Amino acid sequence: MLKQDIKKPKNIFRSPKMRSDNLKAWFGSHEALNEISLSIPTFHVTAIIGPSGCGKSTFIRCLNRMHEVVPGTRIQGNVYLDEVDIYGSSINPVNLRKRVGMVFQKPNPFPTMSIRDNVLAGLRLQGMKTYDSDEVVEKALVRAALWDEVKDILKRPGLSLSGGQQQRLCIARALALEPEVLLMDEPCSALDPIASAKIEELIHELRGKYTVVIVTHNMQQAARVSDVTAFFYMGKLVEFDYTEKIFTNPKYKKTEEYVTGRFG
Amino acid sequence: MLSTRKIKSFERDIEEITEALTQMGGMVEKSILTAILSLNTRNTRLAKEVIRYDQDIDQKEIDIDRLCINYIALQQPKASDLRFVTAVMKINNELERMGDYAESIARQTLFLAKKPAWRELVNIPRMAEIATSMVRECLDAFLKRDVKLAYEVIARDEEADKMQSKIYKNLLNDMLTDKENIERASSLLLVSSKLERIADQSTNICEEVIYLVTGKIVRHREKVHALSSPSDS
Amino acid sequence: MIFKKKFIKESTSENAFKAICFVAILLPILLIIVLIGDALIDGWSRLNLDFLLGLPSRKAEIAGLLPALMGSFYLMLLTAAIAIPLGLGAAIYLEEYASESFLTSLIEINISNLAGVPSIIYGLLGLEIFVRMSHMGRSLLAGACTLALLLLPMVIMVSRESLRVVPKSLREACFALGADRFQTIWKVVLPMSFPGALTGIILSMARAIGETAPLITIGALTYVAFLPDSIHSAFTAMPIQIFNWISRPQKDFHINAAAGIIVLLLVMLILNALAIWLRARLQRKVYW
Repeated sequence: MLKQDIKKPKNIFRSPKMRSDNLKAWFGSHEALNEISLSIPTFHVTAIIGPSGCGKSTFIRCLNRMHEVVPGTRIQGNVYLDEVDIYGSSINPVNLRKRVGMVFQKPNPFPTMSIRDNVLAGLRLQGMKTYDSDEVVEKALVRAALWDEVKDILKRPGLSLSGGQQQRLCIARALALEPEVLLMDEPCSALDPIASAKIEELIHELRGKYTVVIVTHNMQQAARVSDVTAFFYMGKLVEFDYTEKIFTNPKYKKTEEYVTGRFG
Repeated sequence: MLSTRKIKSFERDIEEITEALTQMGGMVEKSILTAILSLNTRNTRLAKEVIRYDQDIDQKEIDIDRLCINYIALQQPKASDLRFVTAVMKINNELERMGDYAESIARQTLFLAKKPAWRELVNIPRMAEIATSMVRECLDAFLKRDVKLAYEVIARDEEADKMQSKIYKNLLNDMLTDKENIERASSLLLVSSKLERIADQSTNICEEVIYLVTGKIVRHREKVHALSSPSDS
Repeated sequence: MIFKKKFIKESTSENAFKAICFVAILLPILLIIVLIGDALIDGWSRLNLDFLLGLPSRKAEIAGLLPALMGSFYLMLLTAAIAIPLGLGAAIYLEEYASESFLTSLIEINISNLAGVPSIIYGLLGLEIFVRMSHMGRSLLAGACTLALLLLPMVIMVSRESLRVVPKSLREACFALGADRFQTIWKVVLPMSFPGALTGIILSMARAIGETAPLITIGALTYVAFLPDSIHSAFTAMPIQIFNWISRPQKDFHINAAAGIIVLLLVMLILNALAIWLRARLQRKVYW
């Protein structure tokens, strides 16, 4: 886990899962992102850190076109998934979001559905007939490290779970769709430390199977869970490097100030 | 189930660091033994090997240091994890110094090899044995978090000290009997003082182990002790 | 104890305010009790099954409420069938689809204003549009359309309110799972907001059942000795029947009117109770 292969020539950025190229975004007239070019390494955990309003959430929303849900958002530039432009005319955002799943800040299981139905919600919304749904439910819940806690209460409402369990349920719901990339927008900010630790542990488990991008304003969390870290400031990408580099010897003064807490 | 996995993720780092430090200890031990062997057998090839090998030890020290720094930066260890990583950094440092001593013993071999052969060494190899066994045992105490063993090793330092003064007396005798011996004897004196330092540093490592396990700081105690009761020594 | 005394001492102005508020709630309650009591005293003697199931008659003692009761019932059914899809649809459009433009804000202002328009105006509108222009005649359908028109602003407003209750985070969750807007509304937003919307709609229906003016304007009959057999047939409704009876000179018919009022109030009460029950029941399915 302590990435000793830093000095080795193996470059995890060489064939990125996703890549943004001069990405700009605006909310109305406010420029939220300014020319972000970032490569997200395949099967690794990428953390995006930065102060509030630095554009980190906007950025990951641009990765599965979730920003389009908010009226008045515009973008310019390109985002590639496996080197295919996701803003191309042939790409359907609905299909894209199936491949690039998302987990939100606040756990948001569907209140009208049971735990089981929550896991299956994505598949059902996609109109897929799930004949082996029991299998799908178990697999997703196991991957989300929730199965042991809920296997006997699958019929219970999703909201009857604790906050941390709800968040893992949301992760299971996203994983049930077999995404290639999992975007997490501050997934622990509404959780207590123990629940956060479980989510972090889960992110460790997901490494190697999924490409994970996590936005967090908890620097320690970014340090603990990620392989590479991007530091955003005022809509710009200040520094992007291996996590241990960012947290032990960052290249830029702004990053140093932020990770040491001397911001201002 | 999750809680056990949680420990794993932390322990993966701790295990990695522990393994690296164990390797480091093995390297240093090997280096000391080889240096003494080269001295004993007047084998310059072995001595050169030891000198070259010190670079590997230095590199290992840097690696472990980086592992520890990354661990602190990324995992923000607390309590026993924090004591662990600070202890490792100090032990790492002590081991690297021991490596340097082994190198300097090897250099004495090179020096003595140019001189005509002298008498057989008896006490120095015995002292080297004591010193290396202390190194081995202090690392053992670290790996097993064995406070009792750590105290035992600290106690054995006296043995090393006695041996050192015995060697010193013998060599002084040699020097007094024949001026010709001075060069060679002072060289061996140097070797024995290096061995004494190695034993000393093993006790330092043991003190770190005691701190790691109990959180108690036992360093410099004897000094305080010695100051308060001068009649003791 | 000291604390408590001090608290009471200092809050004389608060006590006064409390008293005023209490009077404010007491007055309407008293009024309702007087109203119901008066109607009960007057109409109790006529309140029996014959009255409920009888047809109107020139003789007060045997005149019944059945055609009016059934008329009101069918009217409500039809009104609901028209107003709910339209109102819910409009609410969904405004809440979920419409972008914030000058036009939508204009529509919004108009809807809230329409809710305050006197019902007689709707009656006149219904008379012109449904009875005359659409050739529906003075039929049940025309009456239902008119009442639906009257209800629409209210239905739209309560539906929008209940749609707004569904948190943005749930919509996002749905979109993030690859759902489109239609699926999001259909599978997530509506199931959650429906109980709220439904109770609001039932409550506004309860109000509509008592509406008289628009029905009179479009020309609902006052004397119907038969039950409506299709949506095109002529009809009467409870408030009209009551109005008719009360405007007769004979004292006996006034008793009938009082009994009719009791029935009307009962129906409204039942509808309100239904709304409360439905909300409780349906919201149990929505786990908050």
